[in-house]
Amino acid sequence: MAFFRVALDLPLPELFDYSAGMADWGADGSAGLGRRVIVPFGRKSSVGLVLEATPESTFDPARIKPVREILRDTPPLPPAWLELLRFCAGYYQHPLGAAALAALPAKFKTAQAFDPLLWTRLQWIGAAPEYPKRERVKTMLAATLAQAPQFGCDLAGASPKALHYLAEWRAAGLIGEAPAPALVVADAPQLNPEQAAAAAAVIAALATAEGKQPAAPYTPFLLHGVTGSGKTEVYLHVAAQALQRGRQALILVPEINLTPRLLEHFRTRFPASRVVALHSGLNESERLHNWLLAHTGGADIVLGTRLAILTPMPRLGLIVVDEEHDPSFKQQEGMRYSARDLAVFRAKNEAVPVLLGSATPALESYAHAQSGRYTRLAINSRAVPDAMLPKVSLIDLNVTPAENGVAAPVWAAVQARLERGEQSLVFLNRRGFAPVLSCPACAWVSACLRCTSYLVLHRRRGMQTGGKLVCHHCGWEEKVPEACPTCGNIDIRAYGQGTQRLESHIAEAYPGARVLRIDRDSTSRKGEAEALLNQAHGGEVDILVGTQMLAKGHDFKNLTLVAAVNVDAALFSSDFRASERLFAQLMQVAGRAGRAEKPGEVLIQTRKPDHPLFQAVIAADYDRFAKTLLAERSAAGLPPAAFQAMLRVEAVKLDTALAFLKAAAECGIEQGGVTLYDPVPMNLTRLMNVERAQLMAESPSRPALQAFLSRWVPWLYANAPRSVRWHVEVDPLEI
Amino acid sequence: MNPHNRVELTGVVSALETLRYTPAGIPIVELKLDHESPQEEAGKTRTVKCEVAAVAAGQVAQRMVQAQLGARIKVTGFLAHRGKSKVHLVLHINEFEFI
Repeated sequence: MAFFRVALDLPLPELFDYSAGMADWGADGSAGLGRRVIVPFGRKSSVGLVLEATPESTFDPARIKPVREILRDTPPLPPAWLELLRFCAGYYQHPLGAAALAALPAKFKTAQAFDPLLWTRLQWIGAAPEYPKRERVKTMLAATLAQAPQFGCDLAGASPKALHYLAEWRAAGLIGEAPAPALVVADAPQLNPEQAAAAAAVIAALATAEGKQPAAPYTPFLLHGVTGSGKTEVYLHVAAQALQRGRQALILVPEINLTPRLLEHFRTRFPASRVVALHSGLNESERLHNWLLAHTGGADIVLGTRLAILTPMPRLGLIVVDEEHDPSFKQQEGMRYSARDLAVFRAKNEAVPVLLGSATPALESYAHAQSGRYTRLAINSRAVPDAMLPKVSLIDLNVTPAENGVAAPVWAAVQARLERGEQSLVFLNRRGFAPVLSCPACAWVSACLRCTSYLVLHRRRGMQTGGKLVCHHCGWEEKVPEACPTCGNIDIRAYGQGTQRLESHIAEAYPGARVLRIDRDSTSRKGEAEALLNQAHGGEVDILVGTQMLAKGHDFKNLTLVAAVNVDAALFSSDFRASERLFAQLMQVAGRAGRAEKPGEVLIQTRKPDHPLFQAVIAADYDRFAKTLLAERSAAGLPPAAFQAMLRVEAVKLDTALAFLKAAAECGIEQGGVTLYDPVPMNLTRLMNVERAQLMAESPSRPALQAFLSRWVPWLYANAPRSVRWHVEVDPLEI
Repeated sequence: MNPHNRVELTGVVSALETLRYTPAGIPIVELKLDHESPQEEAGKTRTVKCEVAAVAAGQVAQRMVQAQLGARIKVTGFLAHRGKSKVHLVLHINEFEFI
C-alpha cells in the first residue's frame, strides 16, 4: 500500500494519512510529494498538500480513506522547498503542516484548478486575426499579444472571459508558447573599486556554485557598506550575472514601502526580464499570479518582504537580503521565523550564493563575519563621487532646551535649508499627536481598558482639533472624552509629542513651507505610501516629518539635514538589543542626509550627550561600537554568545499563565546544558484582555538548545491546559 | 447642607492668554483679574487688593478672548486647585459681564 501524509488547513498540529494508488506512488513514493490533493475530511472534502509518502501507516489501514483526487495542474512543490519547510518547522518548533500551508497563497489552498496558460508566455503563431470592434475583449487581447509575448496571468485580469478566449486560440493553434526573451541589461553606472570588488566576489561564487551539489561547503557574504555606498548597484550587477546564467534571483527587503522603487530599479535595468513582487500588500490574485510565476520559473526576479523567502523557485541562483539587520525580517506570529536566517539556510541547501547587505549589520551577522563563517565585503565610501558621510552633531537639551519638542539650533538649521531650497527630515519615531492624555486635577491617564498600555491621541485626517484615542496594541478606538472620566474636569491635557503634533508645530513655524508627514497613519490607504514618497523624491516637499518608515533605504537626492528630536527612551530600555537598534536606526536615518553632491548634516537632540552610543554615531564608527557591544554580550552571556528560545503563554488570568510556565520549567525534562529562567509577566502584560507571561530558555550551544526544545515542545503539547494558549519563539528578537 | 462654592468678583483683566483647545476641542482661555475693593473686617474698613488667576471655557471663553486688557468685568464662578498641587487656586468663570 501507499500512504500520503497530508497537511490540511486546520488548526491541528498533525499530518493526516490517506491511501493512494500504486500509480501515484511512483518508483520511490516521490510522485505525489508536493502535490495538492483533495481528500475526504469528516463529511466534507478538503484541499491538502502531500508532504510525506510512506509505504506503511501507523493507523489501522481499514480506517484510512483514499485520496479523492490529485491535482496535477501546477508542477509539484519541489523537494528543495519541502526540505526548506521541514527545516523551518523543525528549527522553529512549528507543526510542519501549518508551516507549509502558511507559506502558500490563500487561493492556492482552494480546490480551484489553475489553467497552465496562466504561467505560459504566449504569442501569436501567425499574424493576429482581426476581430470586429464590438468584440471588445478579443480585440484588446489580440492587440496586447501582438505587441509582445505575454504571460496568461497578465491577460487574465482583463475580463472574466479572457482565459477562455486564450484557451480557444491555443486549441485552434493560433497562439503558442513563446521562448524566454534574451537577457537585456540596460546601461549601468560604472562601479567604484570597492563596489566592483564586492560584486566580483559574489559573481565568482555564482560561477563555482554552478554544478555544485547541495550542501557543499558554502560561505554567505556580508556586504557591509556605509549608507549611500551603492549597495543596490552591487545587487543589480550580481543579479545580472545570475540572470545571464539562466537563474532566478530572490531579493528580500524589510518593508513593503521599499519594494516599489526597488522594483523600478530592477525593471529598468532588466527590461526583458520578468520581475515580480511578493508581499502582503498585494491582493490575492496578484499574489497568486506572482507566486505561480516564481514557482513555475516564469519570473526571473522575485522581490519581496520576509514571506518571499518561502517561495518555491526552480531556477534559484542568488539570494539577496537588503538591510539584513532589520527586525522586520522576523515573523511575529504563527511560525516565528527569521527570513534572513532562512535565506542563509536556503542558500546553503540549494547551493547558491547569499548576499546580506547592511550599513549596520546585526551583531549576529557581524560576529559570523569576525569568525570567518561569513565573508565580509566592505564599502567604506559613498558611491556618488565627492559625496561625504554627513557631519553628526549632538544638541544637549540640558543646555539648549527644546521649544515644542525642537531646540533652537534645529529650527535654525531647517530655516537655512529652506533658504537654500534643500530638504530637511525631522525624525520622530512616535505616531499620533500625543502619546497620552491626562487630567492635571486628578491624575487620570488614558489607559487602554484591554491592554497594559496608554491610548494615544490621534487627530483625524485634516483636522486641527478634536480626534480619537487609539490603542497601538489592540486597535481600540474611542472619541476623545470631553471631560475627565474620573473627576469631570474639561481641561485634560495631551502630554508628549508624536509626529502629528510635531508636524503642526513645524507647519506653524515655517508658514509657506511644504511640510509632509510620512508615517503608518498618513500612508494607511493602498498606494498612499508610494504617492507620498514620490512627492518627497520629486522635490515637492521642503520638510519631511516621519517615523522609521523614512529611515531606511530611501535615496532623497536633495535632502541635506536630518534632525532626530526624541531618541533617548531607547537608552533606558530593559531589552538588551535596544542600544544596537538605536544605533542602527540613527545610522540609517543619518544616512539619508547628503547622499548626492551636497554635504549632509545630522542633528541629534538628547539629554545624555556623553552616552558612548552617541559618540559612536558621531564617529560613524560601526566597528568600534559593534566590538564593544559584542564584548559586553559575551561577558553577559547574551546572543550572539548564547542562544535563546522563549516560551510565551497567554491566559485570561495571569496566575494561570504563570502556573503553566512554572510547571513547564519544573517538568523534569533533561535540560542538557540549557538554562531555564523564572517565569515573568511580559512587558505588555495584558493585550486584548489576555494576560501574557514568558519563560526564557538559554544555552551557549545552539544544538543543545534545539535538542532540549525537541524534548520540551512535545511535553508542552501534552500538558498545556485548555485554559492557556502558548507558543515557542526560537531566537526571539524582543525580550 | 449642600456644599457651596460660589465666588462673585469684579476686576480688571490684567492678562489674557491666547485661546487654546482641549484635546476634545473645547476652547479654554486663562486670564488674570486685578481686584480692588473696600471690605469690612472686625468692624473696620480696609482696602483689599488681589490678583486672581482665572480660567474660562466653552462659549464663555470665546466671549472672554474678545475682552481688551484693562476691561472691567464682573464674574461669577467657583474655586479649584490648579493641578494636583494644593498651593494655587484658580477661579473658574461660569458667567461674566462687562461693567
